[in-house]
Amino acid sequence: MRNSSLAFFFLRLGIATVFLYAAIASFLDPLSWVGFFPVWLKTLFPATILLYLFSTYEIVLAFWLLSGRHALYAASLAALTLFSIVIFNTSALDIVFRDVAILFAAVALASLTHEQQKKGKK
Amino acid sequence: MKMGHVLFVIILGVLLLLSACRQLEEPVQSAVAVQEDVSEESIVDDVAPEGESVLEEVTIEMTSSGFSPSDVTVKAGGTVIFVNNDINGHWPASAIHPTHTVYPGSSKDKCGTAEQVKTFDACGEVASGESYSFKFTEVGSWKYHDHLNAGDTGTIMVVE
Repeated sequence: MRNSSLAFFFLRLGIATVFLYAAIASFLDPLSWVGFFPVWLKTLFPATILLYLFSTYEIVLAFWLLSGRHALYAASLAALTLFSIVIFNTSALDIVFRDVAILFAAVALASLTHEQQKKGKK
Repeated sequence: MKMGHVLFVIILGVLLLLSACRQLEEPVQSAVAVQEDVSEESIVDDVAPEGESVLEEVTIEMTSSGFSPSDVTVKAGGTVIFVNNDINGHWPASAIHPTHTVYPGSSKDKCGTAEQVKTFDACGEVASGESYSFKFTEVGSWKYHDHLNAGDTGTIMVVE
């Protein structure tokens, strides 16, 4: 059980680190990150505003994951976010292929949390 | 492992494979300024075949739909000019995003230094109607991208 808790923590820590890094790097070097937004989205909203909003969202998500509260929803949201990043950047698969691994880590966290919750109810 | 899991893994694998293949299968178009098509042989050998001329200056147009043509061939020592015909800015640079280090000697870190001229990197936004040019001395196949739209990519084939 102790090992299992540790594994949950590491999964949450790993995924949260990715979102935190991306958010901080976006604030420090925005031009290297705006390129990942789809062009149609950038025509609707200014790229810098989008980036700041998304970075803030990433920070909130990262701390939510770290907190461990309602981890099923946090992990599902993280998986959905990563799925969107991969889908909108398939032409840059050389770069975003790593996100596929993080996406499945988030899916694993969501599914393990769901399993644990079911056991807890029994 | 349940059958559903296996099926899911297979579908995901096929999707990723198709996505990767789509990038590989994009035909190497002849550049606007190239007089004759460069054969596949020259692409493999990085040498322009006898009797076929590859111009020393090639122009790539940057629009909202990316680079056009995205894949070009230029002679070693030749220049590629990126012209921005879009209303938005573009930033052509060597792969790989965001470090721009694939073309020998290139690095985003060199922007703003004395070595910037040797770097295949516009080192900033090329505004609408403006252009950026770079002289390619290294023979090989060099991928590039738009730093502001990381999904827009292309390849510059430099032949002897």
